[in-house]
Amino acid sequence: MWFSKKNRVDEVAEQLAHSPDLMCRRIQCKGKTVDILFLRNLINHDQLQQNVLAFIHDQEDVSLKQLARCLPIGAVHVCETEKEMASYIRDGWACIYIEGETHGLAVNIAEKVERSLEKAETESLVLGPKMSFTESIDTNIHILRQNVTDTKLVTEKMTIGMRNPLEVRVVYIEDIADEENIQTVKQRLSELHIDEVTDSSVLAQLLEDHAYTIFPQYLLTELPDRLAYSLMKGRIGIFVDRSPTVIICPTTFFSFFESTEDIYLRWTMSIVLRAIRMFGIFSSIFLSPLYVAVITYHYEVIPSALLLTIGESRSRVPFPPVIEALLLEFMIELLREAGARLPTKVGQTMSIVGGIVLGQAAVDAGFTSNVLIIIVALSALGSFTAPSYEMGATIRILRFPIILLAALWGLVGILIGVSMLLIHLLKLTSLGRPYLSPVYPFRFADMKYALIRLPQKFYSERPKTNRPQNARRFSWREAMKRKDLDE
Amino acid sequence: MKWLIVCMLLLSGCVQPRILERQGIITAVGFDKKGKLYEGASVMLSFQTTRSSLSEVIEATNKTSKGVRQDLEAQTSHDLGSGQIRVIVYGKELAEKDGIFTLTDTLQRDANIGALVYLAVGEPNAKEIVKSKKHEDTRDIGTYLYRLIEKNLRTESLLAATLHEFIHCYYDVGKDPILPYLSVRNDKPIVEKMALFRGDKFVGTVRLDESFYIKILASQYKSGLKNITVSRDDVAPLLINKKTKKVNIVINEIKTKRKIKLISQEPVPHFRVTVKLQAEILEMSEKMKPIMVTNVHILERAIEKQMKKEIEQLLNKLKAYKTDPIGFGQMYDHSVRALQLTDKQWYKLYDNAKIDVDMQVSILRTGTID
Repeated sequence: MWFSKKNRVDEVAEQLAHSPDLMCRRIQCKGKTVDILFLRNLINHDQLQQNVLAFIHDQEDVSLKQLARCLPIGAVHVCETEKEMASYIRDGWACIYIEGETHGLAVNIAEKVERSLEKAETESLVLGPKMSFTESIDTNIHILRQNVTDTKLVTEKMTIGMRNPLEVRVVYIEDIADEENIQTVKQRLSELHIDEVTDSSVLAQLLEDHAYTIFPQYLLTELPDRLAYSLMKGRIGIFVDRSPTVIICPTTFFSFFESTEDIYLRWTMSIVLRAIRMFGIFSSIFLSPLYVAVITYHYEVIPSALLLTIGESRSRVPFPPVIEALLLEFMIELLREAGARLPTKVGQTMSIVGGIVLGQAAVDAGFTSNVLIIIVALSALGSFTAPSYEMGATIRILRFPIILLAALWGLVGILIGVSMLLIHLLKLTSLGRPYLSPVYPFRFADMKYALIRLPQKFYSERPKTNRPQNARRFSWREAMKRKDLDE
Repeated sequence: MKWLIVCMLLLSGCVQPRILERQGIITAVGFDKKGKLYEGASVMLSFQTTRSSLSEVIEATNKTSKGVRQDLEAQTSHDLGSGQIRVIVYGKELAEKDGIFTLTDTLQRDANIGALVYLAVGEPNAKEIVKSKKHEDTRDIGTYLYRLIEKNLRTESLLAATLHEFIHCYYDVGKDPILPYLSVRNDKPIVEKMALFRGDKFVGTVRLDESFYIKILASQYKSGLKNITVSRDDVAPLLINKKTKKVNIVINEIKTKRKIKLISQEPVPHFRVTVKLQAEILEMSEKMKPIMVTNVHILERAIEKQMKKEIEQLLNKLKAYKTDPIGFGQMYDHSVRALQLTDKQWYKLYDNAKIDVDMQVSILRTGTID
């Protein structure tokens, strides 16, 4: 069909917008002209020479049928149209056309560029596996398969993006994950009509239930062990090609404060660590608003021992407490943002300039009180304790409206803020599932997953929040039996 | 959401900000009577950037306490804030003649002032105590007085000092309030005695060693020590030398439990008070034989006897002042059915009331070493 009209090579070249990288190697073999087309920077040249060129050269019978059968290459495909051929070439395959044949043959000799496997950057751990996902979906699936060898593991392939198609894999354990959740994910993915998706975080935004909220509704992780853990507990993962982060859904509010380390550490330690984290996050949101409210409206509540310290440090500041607090919070955010954008080496200088020079100078100049410096530093630290970067960012932003409320109505304002926040959280859903579970709806048995940790024998049931098809992990009775060596 | 923002903007003017450093923070107040006028002195704290904060006493005279407050406001560039008031001192004369209820009542109605503010009576007047320049290491006299009273409450040499307790006892029929009694020694205010009240009027004082007995009769005692002087004859079998007429014994780690029972109400109310006291011996003024299980009862009985004597003296003193800080009236009211006791009735009954004291002392240890 496609050879009849113009020169087919020209046709393919046109499809590829006459890319300067398009190479056409024409060889004469057994009296036949063989054209091999490829984009020179996408292929593995060794493979081309040894497995394609040399092989064709040595063949007795150069025909499409013969080559398709005998080429020592993992993947070959018979193409019918130039368009199809061009799309394979774009993926790094080489196309072989033999004079006189009606079809072309595409062979996979692509060489993908990818970085090596590294330690996780955004979710760093002390204990536990360190490996993180990378940008190639094939590698990521490979890592997942190594982590989850469950025979019921499903990795369903979908493609999204009309102009720049992207491979997406929905992964779940078939007999654990909730059927309805799986259907929702697949439906939302198939209903996406969009030209392209840049990254998994963009896809997460596209799949969200609520766009007008500052809370993230899906967990993004780059840790294979975290994904494996979530899958085994009945959640669903979405891999996106070219993205090192995996979407985990449905997600609850509390899962943003869980770190995989909580599972690796002994339960006594992880209870305390989790409590510290919760406290850190709570104080990160409420400490500076509390300062503003107390200094502006409620000086009665300051303990008499602190009164003098706070009063003296405040007496130099020319601004009302709100302006003071906002100024300092803004400064810290500025430092943080600048630090995130700068290369590591300059970043260190930054932190010294910011932390010591600016802070000290601000106090000396009478811009802020040193009590506030401590408070703001504490709340900045607190927001870093969130294991999820997205939630950390949310918490950073969250305290600004509450500072304003505190400045308007004092403690009453803070309470109004808390109430509105709670109402909002109660209404949120992730993949149609309640966001605040297990607190609301109240699921007592799930508290051991979300808020505290218990010894392993108590985890015989999967969390109800995920609505697992098969809730049982192991027999409680078996686990309670004493297993002594001398039995 | 739209309306919420509108509401926020409209309501934002409704709350008056009271920014900390613009407040002249009052830590202590003293009230005195001068003719028909109230005289008030406040310790005002204003913050200074250079590490030495200023506390300053400002005074004013007016017909009402809030009038005094207004006159005080005229004397400072700060807004006077009463939210950190720790101690309120009433002059002895004011407390004796006018009573302090009208002044405490207004404190209780002020939401800025907590119910745990300490009240005290000052001698010779409140002004002198509040204006004292000696306040140890604290930054102002208000904090000093606060810590002074707090410490003495903690060590149980004082019974009650808070506004809440005062108001409670004031309204309660058959129980009278007591407050710390501050006096000035070498220009420094100290807690010397305890002030007794009838209603809201100051009637007299008891020494702190007497107030120990009020404490063990009115509630329970959990710590602290007590010095008891017993007569030589009572402990004679234990003594080695024969020198003085009296023997001093200090007991420590005192724990008491008391029970007051109305035995009969006719012809006069007859109460029996049982106090169980456990303690260890800390110090003795004389050499004694080793105290063993066999002879410890000699010591116990001697202490019992002495304590009983002192309690009876105290009760007579209280009766003479016509004040009932222990709350016998309350017990009477509770024990007699369908009785609406009034203060007037009770003072009449109290005068004739018969109170038996039964002390039960047990000495647990004679020192922690053995």
